[in-house]
Amino acid sequence: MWCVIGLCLLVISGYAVAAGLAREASRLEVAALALCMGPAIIGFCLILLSMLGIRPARLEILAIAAVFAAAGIAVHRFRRVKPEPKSRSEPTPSWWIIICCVAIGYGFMAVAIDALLYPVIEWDAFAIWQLKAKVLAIYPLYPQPGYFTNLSLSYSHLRYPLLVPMISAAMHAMTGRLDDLGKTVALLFYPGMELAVFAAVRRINGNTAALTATALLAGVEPLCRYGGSGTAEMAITAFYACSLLCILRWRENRDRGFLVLAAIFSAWMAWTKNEGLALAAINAIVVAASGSRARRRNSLLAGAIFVGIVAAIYLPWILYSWGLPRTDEDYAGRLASPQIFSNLGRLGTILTGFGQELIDWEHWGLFWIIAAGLALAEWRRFKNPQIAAIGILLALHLVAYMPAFLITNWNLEELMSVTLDRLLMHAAPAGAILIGALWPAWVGGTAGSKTGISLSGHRP
Amino acid sequence: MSREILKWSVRILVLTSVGLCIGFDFIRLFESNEPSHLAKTYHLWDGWLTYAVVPDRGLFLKFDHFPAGDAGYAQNIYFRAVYDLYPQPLLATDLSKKISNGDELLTENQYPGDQWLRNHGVDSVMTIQMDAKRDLPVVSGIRWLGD
Repeated sequence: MWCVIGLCLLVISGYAVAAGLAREASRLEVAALALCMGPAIIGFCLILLSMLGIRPARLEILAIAAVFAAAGIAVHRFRRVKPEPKSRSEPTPSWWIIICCVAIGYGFMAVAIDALLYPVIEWDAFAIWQLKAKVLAIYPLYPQPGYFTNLSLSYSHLRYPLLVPMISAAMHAMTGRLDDLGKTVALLFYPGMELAVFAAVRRINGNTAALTATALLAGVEPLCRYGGSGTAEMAITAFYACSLLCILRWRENRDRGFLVLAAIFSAWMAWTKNEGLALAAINAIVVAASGSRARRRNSLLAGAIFVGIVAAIYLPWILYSWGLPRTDEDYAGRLASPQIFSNLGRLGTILTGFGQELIDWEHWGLFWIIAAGLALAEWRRFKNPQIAAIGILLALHLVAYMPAFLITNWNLEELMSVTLDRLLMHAAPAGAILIGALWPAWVGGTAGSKTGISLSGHRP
Repeated sequence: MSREILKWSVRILVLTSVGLCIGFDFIRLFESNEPSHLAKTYHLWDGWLTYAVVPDRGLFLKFDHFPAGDAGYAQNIYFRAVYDLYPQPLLATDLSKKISNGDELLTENQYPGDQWLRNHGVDSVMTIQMDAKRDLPVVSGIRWLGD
C-alpha cells in the first residue's frame, strides 16, 4: 500500500512544478510532464537532504510531498487550462485507434510485469542502479558512505549520478523494506514518456499521427525489456521525451515556462546518466540556435538561461563527486584525451554496428526504417523549423553516442552488442516524434494540409 | 487509386512493425519465459548466499580453478552477491583492488586468510567451481570461520 501512496505522492509533486511552470500547457501535456517530473523532483530534494546528512525516510517524503501538494493546489486554483487546438483532419478510423491502443496497452503491460512481478534480474539493475539504491536507502551521503571509495565495487560506476537510485531509495523508504519495489517508478515514467510523445506530435500533426507514432514507440522491445527492469534507461528516455516536448512548445510560443522546464528535464538527464550531459548540451545548442536571424539574440539568451539552470541543478553532484576515485570506466574523463583521435579507425565498426541495430527487427520492428523512409519521402517538410529541429536533435543525439565507443577499454563489438539497443532506446522518443511530425496528410496527418497546427515555430 | 494503395502500404508497414515488436517481446515474456528463467536462477543463488552468511556478518567468495573463459559467470555471481547481501560485506578481493569485470575479479581473487577476513567483518567463505559436465558454476563448499 505504501508503494501506491508513494507513487501518488510523486505525481502530486510533479503536478505542482509542471503546471506551475507550463502555464499554457494542455491537460495532456501537464499529465505527461507531471508523471516524469514528480519522481525527479522528489529524488533531487532527497539527494540534497542526504548531502546534509539526512537519509530518505517516509516522514520526510510525506513532508516534501505536502509542500508540493499545497503549491499544486494553489497552481490549480489560478490555472487557466488552454483547450487543445482543434484540427480539422479526417477522423481516425476506429479500428486504427483500437490497434494503436492495443500496442500502447501491451507496452505498459510488459513494463508493469517486469516492474511488479519479477525481482531485480537485469544485470545492470542489480550491479549498478539498485545496489546504489540500497546504499542511499541505508546511509546518508554525508558523511560519505564507504561505498563511494570501495574500488572492489568500481564495476558499479562509483561516479555515476544518483537521481534514479535515490528515486528507488525513496520507494524503499516508503515501503520500509529493501525489496524489489524500487522499480515501480517505471509505472510513471513509461506512460509519462508515451504521453509526452503523443502530446508533442498531436500539436504538430493531429490525432492520427500522434496515435500512430505513440503506438510504434510503445511496443519496441528495448522499452519493454528495460522499462520496468530497475535500470536508469526508462528514466533518461522519459526525461528526454519531456525535454523534447518542452523545447518544441517553447519554440512554438516562446513561453519561458517551457524553456525552464526543458532545462530542468535536461538537468534530470544529466543527474541520471553521464550520457544525459551530452543530451543536455545538444538541447542547449538547439535552443540557442532556434528562430530566425532577427530572433537570434533572444535565442542565445534563452540558451544561456538553459545552460545556467542545468549547471545550477547539476552543481551539487559536481561538488560531491569531485574527489571520488576515477577508474578506467570513467568515460567523461577519457573523452578529453587524445585517445579519441588515435582510435578513429574504429569508426567503421561503430557505424556498421549502429546501422545493424537500427534495422534489427527483433528489437525495433520497422521503427527506424519507417523514420528513415518518412524522412526521405517527406524531405521537403524539413524546411519547417519545428520538424528541422526534431531532425537535428535526433541526428545530434545519435552522433553524440559515438565518441564513447571510440575511447572505451572494453572489447568494442562485445560492448556494442550489449549497449546499442539501450542507447537507441534513449533516442527513440525523438524518432517517434519525427515519425509523427512527418506522418503524411493522406494517411491522417494534418500538418501537410491547411489545417495544420504549430508549424511555424513562431508565435502567430 | 494509387493514393489508396500507398495509404494501405503505409498502414501495413506500421502494423508489421507493431506486430514484430509485440511478437518478439511476447516470445521473450511468455514463450521463452526469459525473465522467469533468470528469476529462478538468481533465486537459487540468492538462497545459497543467504544460507552461507552469518547474520550481520559478511561473506568471502573464492572462485576455485575457474577457467578464464568462464569469467562472466564469476562476475555475475560476485555482482549479484554484493547486491543481495548489502550492507553486509561481500568480499572477493582486498578492498583496494579495482574490480570492473570478471577477468579482474579472477586475477585478484586471492584468499587473504581467516584473521584478515574476521577483521573485515567476514565470518564465512563460499567456494565456487565450474562443473565441467554441466558447464555451470556450482557451490563446492561453504566454511564458517567460527571464533
